[in-house]
Order: sequence, then structure tokens, then C-alpha cells
Amino acid sequence: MMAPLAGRDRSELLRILADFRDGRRPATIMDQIIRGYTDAQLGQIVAWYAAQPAVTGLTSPSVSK
Amino acid sequence: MNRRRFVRTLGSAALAGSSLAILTACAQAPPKHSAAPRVVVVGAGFGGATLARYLRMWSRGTVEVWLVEREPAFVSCPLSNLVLGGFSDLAALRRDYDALSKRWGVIRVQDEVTTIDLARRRVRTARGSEIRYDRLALAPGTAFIDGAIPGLQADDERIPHAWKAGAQTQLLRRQLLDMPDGGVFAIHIPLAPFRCPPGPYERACVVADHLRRHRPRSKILVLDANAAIQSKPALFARAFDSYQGLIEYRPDSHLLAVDPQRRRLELEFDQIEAQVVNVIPPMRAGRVALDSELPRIDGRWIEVNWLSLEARGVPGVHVLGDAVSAAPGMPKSGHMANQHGKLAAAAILNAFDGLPPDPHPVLMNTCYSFIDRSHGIHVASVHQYDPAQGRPLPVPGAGGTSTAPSIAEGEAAWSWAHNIWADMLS
Repeated sequence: MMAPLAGRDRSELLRILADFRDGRRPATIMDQIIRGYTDAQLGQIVAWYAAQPAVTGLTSPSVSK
Repeated sequence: MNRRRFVRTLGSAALAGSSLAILTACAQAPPKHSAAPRVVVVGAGFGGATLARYLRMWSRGTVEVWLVEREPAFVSCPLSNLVLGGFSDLAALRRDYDALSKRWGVIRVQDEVTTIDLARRRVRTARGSEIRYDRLALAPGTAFIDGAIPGLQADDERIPHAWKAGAQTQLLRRQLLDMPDGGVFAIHIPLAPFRCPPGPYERACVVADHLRRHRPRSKILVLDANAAIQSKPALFARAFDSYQGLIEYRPDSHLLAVDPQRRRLELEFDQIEAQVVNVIPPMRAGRVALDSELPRIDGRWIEVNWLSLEARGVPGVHVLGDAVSAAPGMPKSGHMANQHGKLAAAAILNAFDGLPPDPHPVLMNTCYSFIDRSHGIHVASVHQYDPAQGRPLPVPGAGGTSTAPSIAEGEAAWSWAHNIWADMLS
């Protein structure tokens, strides 16, 4: 599970997205999805996450089947 | 750009994740005197519920939202094939609408819209209410075309469709449990477009996982009116092969009539009798959208303006989800309906502010499917608005499918479901 995105540094988030896009980070869907967005759109997305208050103590939600 | 606009613009650009739900700002009770603009949303599935929730969230409670839905609770069609295999149950797929009203101040009406008066901007309901609107949003999903298959009754219990999660799902599950070993389970798939393109193929796989353990001499016949598998074809073809003769796939199988008494299918070139028969009937937009004077494509789906999801030529009336005549490469899926809900919410709030809709909307989709009780596969796509064509188009080089089924993607499918249910209902 990935760490929460809220409040993370913009450039760090952009680097993660670039790693997905360029195949440097293992992925199932993120590498495919990220290639559909323009750099400007990715910039908007990370700016929004970076502006959120950081969340601590999150755990993976329990999933009932 | 004020905060509301800023947040909305991001919303339409952002991945459809539940992380946006962090944005919980002040839901308020609807204002007492109705200076507030009012949106009436018809249908509380993936599209309508998302729209209602995001209208309240992004307007910070300043837009009044009425949500008319005949069912008392939401039951997810995605994942419901697992119920047929005995790998989940309907309770795990059910969510109530309480948070929409209590947390977000959506005015919920459990009723059915019977008529729309476009001139007077009112809807009338089965229980006799008349509700005025400033803007109307129709998210009625799909309906089956009555009489399309001679012999088949609506919600026929002898040949269930199980294409709306609920009683029909349980019925088909019961029939599969009662099927003797060595029996034949036949699924008929209508010509595209239909709701949930991977759904029928996933159904065959998940039921095969059940049968190989409990009725190993049985057989599944997948009778497809289409010329080929309609979603993730290579992955599903391999999954079918992995069941070693348990699943037989027959393309170009046109269904002419059924005999529900004998559970018999009359195909163009063949006649088949099976112990359990599942016919997924041909579909069209939900009745409320087709009864009104909205522009249609093929007589079955509503034509929309892709910047606002207003019915083409009918300002102020938005249509979203499966009822829409889809843009190229756009599936009729819960995920896509959720994206439609956000696009429409942003466009409606802009319109109330006297602003045009976002000229560059982006939509994306992920459809997970199971090929047995635990292994998942996906297909994903991103759709950018093309101003020259006036519709969204899949971005070349983006999106794609799994390379192989995996348990990790089976778990991702469950996470996807929990996240999107939260994004529309919590």
C-alpha cells in the first residue's frame, strides 16, 4: 500500500508520477493511466494533494468480501 | 479563480480516487427559503449518487439537491458475479443512502419519476408528488427492451438475466446450486452496446470456478451475439482455455426466441436446451430518459453535449451514465458513470455561476474483472475532450489491460469497489 498522498511535497509527487509513466515504478494500472494526462493536468493534481493537510496514522481499510 | 472553482477544476482533472473525499467541507441543511438553485437528480446509482454528493460538496451546501430513487438502498452490480459463484454475498455489495441525506443534506425521495414536464421544469412521481427544478439530471441506467426476444417475459424467473444485482442474482445462484452434475449452463450475450462489457465473460469464469469444484462434469456455453469477446479479449480467451473444456465460447450466436418452460434457446443456426439459462436481454436507456423528448441515437440512447452532459439541444437537462450514447471507446461502466457525475456536477455549478463548462474535461475508467474467485484483471482508459470532434476520445498510448491475472489485482478490484462506493455514498 502506498503512503497517503495528502500534504506530500509537489516535486516528490511529480517524481512518483514520472516514475510510473516511464516504467521505473512497478504498477498495474498507474503506469497506463498516468500516460493519459497532460503535464499541466498532472501539475494540477499534485498541487491539490500537496495542499491537503497531511494525514497520519492511516491504515489500509479492512475489506469485507 | 475562487476556491470553489479551483476545487472543481481539479476534481474533473483528478484521478477518480476516494482521496478527493478528504474534501469534506461543510454540508449544510438545505436553505429554508428557496433562493437556492435546485437540482433534481433521478436515479441513485454510480452516476446519480456521485452527482448528488459532489453538487453538495462543491457548492458547500448552497445548491439544493433532490435525489429521486425507487430502491431503498444501493446494491453494486460490479462484483455481483462473485455472488453467483458463492464467493461473496449481496449484503457485502449493499450500501445505504443515509450519509447522502444526513451528512451531505441531499433531499432523498424514495419514489419513481413518471413524467417530466420540460416546459414547466417539473417532474411528477408515481406517488403523486410534483417537484420543481432549476436543472434536471437523469441517471436512470439501462432498461431491457421489452419484447426484444420472443418468449422472454420481463424479469422472467425461469430464465433470469441477473443483470441488476438483487433478487435476480440470488435466483440465478439458486438455479446454479440446483443444477445437476453434467448439466449445461448457457449464457446469452446481446449485441453491444450493453452495460458492463466484461461482465458476461467474467460471469462465465466465476461460475466455472464454482462448477469445477462442485459439478465438475458440467459445461458452460457462452453464446455471444457479437463476433468476438467485447472486453479484454486476449485475457478472457486465455481464462476460458484455462478451464479446459468447461467453457465453450460461440461467437455470432444470434438469439431468435426462447422457450422458458423447456429452458430452450432458438438460435439462428442451432437450438440449445440447458439446465440453467441466463439471457442478458438487449438494452436501452432507462425509461424516464426515453419517455421525454430528448434526442436519441439508434432510438435507444440519449445524445449529449460532452462538455456539460446536457441532452443535445435541451439546456438545463443533463443525462449521465449508461443511458448516454457513449463516445468512442467509452464503456457503460460504474466507474465511467462516476466520472460523468463529477463532470456534470462541475458544469451545473458553473452554469449557476453564469460560467461556461470546463473546456477540457478528462474522464477515465478502470474495469476490474475476476477470472476465478481470487484472480483479477483490468482494462483502463483515459478520455480527453477533443474540441474538433466535440467529444472525448481515448488517449492513444494510455490505458491498457493486465498482462496476466493476479491475486494482487483481485484485491485491487475489492479496493476499487470500496473506494468508489465511498466516493459516491459516504
